Amino acid sequence: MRSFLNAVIFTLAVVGFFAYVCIYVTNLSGGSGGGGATGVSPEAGEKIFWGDGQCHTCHSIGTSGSATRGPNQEGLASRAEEKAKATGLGSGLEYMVESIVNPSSFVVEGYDDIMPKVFAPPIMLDREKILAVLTYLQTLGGEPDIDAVIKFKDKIPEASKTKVVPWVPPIEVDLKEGELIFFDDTRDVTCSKCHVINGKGAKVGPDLTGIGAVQTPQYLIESVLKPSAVIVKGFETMYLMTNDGMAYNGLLVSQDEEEVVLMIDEEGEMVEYVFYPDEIAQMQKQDVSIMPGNLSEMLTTKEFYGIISFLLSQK
Amino acid sequence: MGNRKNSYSMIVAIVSILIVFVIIKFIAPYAFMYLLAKDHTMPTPSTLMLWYMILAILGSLVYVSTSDLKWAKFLSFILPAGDDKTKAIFQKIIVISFPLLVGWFAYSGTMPGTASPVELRIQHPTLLQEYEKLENPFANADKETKRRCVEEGKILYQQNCRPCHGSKADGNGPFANAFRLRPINFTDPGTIATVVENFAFWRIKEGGPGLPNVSTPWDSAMPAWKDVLTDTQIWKIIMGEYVTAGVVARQREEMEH
Amino acid sequence: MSKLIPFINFTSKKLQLRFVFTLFLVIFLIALATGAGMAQEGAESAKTTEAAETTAEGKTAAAEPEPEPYEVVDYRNFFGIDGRLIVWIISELHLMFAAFVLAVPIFVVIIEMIGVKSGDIRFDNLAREFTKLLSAAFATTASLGGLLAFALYGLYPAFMRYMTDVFHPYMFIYALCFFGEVFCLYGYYYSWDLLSRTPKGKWFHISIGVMLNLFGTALMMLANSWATFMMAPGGINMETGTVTSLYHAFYNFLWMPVNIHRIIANVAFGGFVVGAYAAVKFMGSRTDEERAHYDWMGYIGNFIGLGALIPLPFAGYYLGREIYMASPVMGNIMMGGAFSWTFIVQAILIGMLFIGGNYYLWNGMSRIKGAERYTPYIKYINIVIFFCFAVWLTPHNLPLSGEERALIGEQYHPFSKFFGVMAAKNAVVNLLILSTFFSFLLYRRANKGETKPFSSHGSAARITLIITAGLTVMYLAWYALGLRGLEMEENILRYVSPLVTCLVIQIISIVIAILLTFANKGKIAQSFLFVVTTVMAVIYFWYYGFVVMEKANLVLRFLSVTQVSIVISCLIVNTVIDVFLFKDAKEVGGIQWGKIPHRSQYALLLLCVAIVTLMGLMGFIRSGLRMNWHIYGYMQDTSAGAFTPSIAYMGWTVSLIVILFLALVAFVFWLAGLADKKKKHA
Repeated sequence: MRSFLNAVIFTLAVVGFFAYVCIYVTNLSGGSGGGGATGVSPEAGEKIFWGDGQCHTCHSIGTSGSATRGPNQEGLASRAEEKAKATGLGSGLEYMVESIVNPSSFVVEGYDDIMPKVFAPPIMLDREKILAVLTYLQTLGGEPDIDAVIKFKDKIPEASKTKVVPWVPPIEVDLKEGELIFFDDTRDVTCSKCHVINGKGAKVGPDLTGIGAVQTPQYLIESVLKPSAVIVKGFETMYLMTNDGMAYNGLLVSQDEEEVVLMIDEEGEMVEYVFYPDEIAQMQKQDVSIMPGNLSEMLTTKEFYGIISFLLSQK
Repeated sequence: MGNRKNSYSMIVAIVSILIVFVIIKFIAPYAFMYLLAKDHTMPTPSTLMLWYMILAILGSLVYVSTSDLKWAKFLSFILPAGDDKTKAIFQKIIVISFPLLVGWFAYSGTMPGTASPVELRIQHPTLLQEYEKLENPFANADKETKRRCVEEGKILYQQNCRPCHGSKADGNGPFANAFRLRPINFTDPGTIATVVENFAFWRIKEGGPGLPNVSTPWDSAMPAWKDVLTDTQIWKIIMGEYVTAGVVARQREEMEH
Repeated sequence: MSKLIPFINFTSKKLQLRFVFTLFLVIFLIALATGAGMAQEGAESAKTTEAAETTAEGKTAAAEPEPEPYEVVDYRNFFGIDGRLIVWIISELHLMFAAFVLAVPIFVVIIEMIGVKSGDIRFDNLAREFTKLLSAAFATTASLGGLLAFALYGLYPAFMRYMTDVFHPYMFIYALCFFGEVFCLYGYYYSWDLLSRTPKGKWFHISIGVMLNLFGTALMMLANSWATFMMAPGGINMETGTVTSLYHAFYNFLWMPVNIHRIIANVAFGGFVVGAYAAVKFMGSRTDEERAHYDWMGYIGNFIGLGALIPLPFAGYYLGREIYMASPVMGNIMMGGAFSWTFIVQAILIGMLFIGGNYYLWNGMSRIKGAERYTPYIKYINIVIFFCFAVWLTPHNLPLSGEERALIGEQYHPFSKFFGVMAAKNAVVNLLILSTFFSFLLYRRANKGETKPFSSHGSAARITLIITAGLTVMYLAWYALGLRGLEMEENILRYVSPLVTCLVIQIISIVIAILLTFANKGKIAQSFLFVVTTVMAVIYFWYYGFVVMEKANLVLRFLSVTQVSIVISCLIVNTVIDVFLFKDAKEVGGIQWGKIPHRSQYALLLLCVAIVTLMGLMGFIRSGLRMNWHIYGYMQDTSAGAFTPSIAYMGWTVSLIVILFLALVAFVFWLAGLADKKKKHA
């Protein structure tokens, strides 16, 4: 029995050595483990960030971690403050809450909209853990403020264990307001200048009547924020270069042997241009949508979700 | 075998560990200086130092325990010396120096220092997925087109890359000396010759900022060219660059059963 | 019968407690699992068909109206635990057990054959002892396999749907082979006494054992093809996934390399597991007789394990080359990217194997009278091995602090420049193998004195020697001719000719060695071949590797193959010479079985743990190389577990797997031992 015990101890020592080497190597090559704390505290949040939350799968922080799928979160708090100002949110914290509650709402430029909802399966962080991560995120380029974080408690959905939840906008919005914005042509950007709903509006882009019945909220959000991600067939931008070297980008209205008609955006107005085949040097389909790509900057979050809710109500 | 005499195998082991230490710590830097004709010594990095010393100690322990006799001899050194004066002296040396050594290690480990953190630069970071599947649009072009692309690529190379990477692609452009991490010498067979063309494409397109963290992007001054050059131009540059440097990219080997 | 009771003493308090506790644990775990499972059952799934249609944007499910439609789920998790972790653990355990039930029969049949040939009853008993372990181990493997299949189908339904679509015909074949394996195994075990009465029966028995191994190997190869298909898919349309050629899907590009690597590794694994079993028994044995028996058993296990370990790096190198060939990107990920550090860990483990194996041999020499003549060599071998280990460990990308980088003034320190690259590593691995082989030869001859003249072995010896050497020479010549016939640019081709010269030199030295052996100068022949091989394959190719790297990178791959060929040819010819050289040689003092230091038994244990860990690690690398693909280049893993885990995470998981496996194996050994004790006391 003693010899067996010795063998077990020896085996455990060898396996332990192996595990140690692995950890040593990991530390050498970047990436680290977390501490040991619970509750809503930056320490607990850090642990979750590098552990349960699997945030480190996509995000690294400074030189820790090696993931590159999502943005590096070093100095996040200060950046969030800036972003919040740019998007009309109250605080950087609100921006972070938004980004976690609805990851698709703000996608950092250069990254794909791949972030999952951490409160949904398969990650399923409960509310307290998300709050803890928020406090940790605050420490990245800022000071943690646990009380402020706790205030957002109700904004964060409880880890969902039911089947598909109907989509609710992450903040309270009024879909009437969304409708107003959609048709408000006093603004720099008006949806109805290019989209039709129930016969109202101009027919430049796809008709949005009944869109809520066929599209998911995620799709709509993406289409507004990143118009070029999916371009509805027939609405691709055409790039046209004339013999005298002028380049035009616009929607193809019609094309036949005698003339090519493009709808071109001229300082906010859609103007039809007619080209004759002999003056066209080059014509090419683009994979960039003509729809403005900066809507996220032109709309406040509230307005944005208002529009989305309005569109979803179009069934 | 004369077992009467006291065994000095422990001393031999310690001395050989010391010899290894001296070789790695003091001789190797100078040896490399002369061998490689450098004007400065090449000190052994601390990480390697540690690994090599651990191996040396392990090696000696393995050797002295290869048989019961050797092991007993090795251990016998800590037994009372009797009338053997030299042994007594050695024992004293060990008894005094061992705690000193441990103390020194503890001291140097905990002493606050100003060393910059050890960092690792991964030379060939993992190629991103979206670049992996790309293919040089001219890969299957006819000879004439290829030749033209190479010529165009050479010109583009000289226009855009020469300032740093040099007109001969040897990493010796007029700006080269200004960077802490020198621009890569493409003629060195350890650089672009070891990667596929897609890798070069990625590096040109995304530059230093596009490097993953493990590759310490802040060290690389390579600009991201995606806003300046079109994809076609980049492919041409790659073709021209390999020809200028006189190396060939790693090829996908032909598959066969 | 009453004497039976003490040994499975059901009235014993201790045993009862154990039973109760186990039962409790089982019930508790089931309750826990179902509780968690109920909560999870209805959980929102990762992906719906609808989301799949709307392409890239949505991974989460859309808002659905009240009556819930049937959802096609791509991924599930295991009661809240990431499905990948579960599949990882189960498949690795299944693989290890499968390796065990594949390796032990190989070992057993070899031992049984040796037993019949040599007429030594000890071998037969040893073979029998291990066959007993098989049935329990076999059942465990099958259960784990079932569990794995269910886990895969349950947790990765979409992926498995596709795999089933492609491979369903082979799945039936797999099941059929399984029947074959079962019948052979039990036939082999139960017919032992029946068939061992006559020599004819004995050989029939051995052929059942061989059949058992054939079925086992077939099973392994079938399963391998699925795994390698995931790494290097063939025979399917990479866009649509339509199967264009089932044959190519099955015989995919990496199939053969993996098969070869796994079979050799299995033999090594079997040997080391037997060694560890013997070690534990040896340390616990009380009588000299038992000690002698288990010492001998450990020696046999180590012998077979080491024998398989020596060619293993070559098979691994071949596999690595083929991975590069299948996808250079995958190759770069493996050696230069995310996985390069795992190879440092691998180097440590393999270093442990080689050092452990040598250490055991050296310790074993102390029980052999006459070994003193060879002990002085140990020093040098030891130094060489540790030197090789050091070179092998040296990474090309070294962690440097800013000051160090400034002092060095360039990207690479000379140590990592000269030691960290492939040319150096290949050289030291070959040196490591040569020196281990040298240790082995020393061990073999430790006991032997005066040798008999070669002519006394008759013409059979001469013919065997000539055939072996002839085949080796033919292989070398074939490869040399292949190199000559390469179609490449002139300036690159220039660098190939030294390789051809080396091959020619090696052929000549083999011929000289054979002639020397015929002239009764076997020892000189062996040393001569050793020296020539070491000088060329290690020293010259180390230097020449750098030359080639600078001037003609393309030649590097031929260089490695040449190097390996030269070393292997030396090993083969030297082994054969050695066999005949010491055939019927006078024994100096005989081996005193049982008189081996206890320390050496820990070396045997180390070998076993290291090889199990190594299997876990390499399994991780092989599987992880696909990054976030199920089927590399065709089907992407879009689950949350698609990330490549950190090495530390891997370390913990693999440690867990190793401990689980060893515990299970120990349990199986204990079960098999129960019956034994019963018999002795009945």
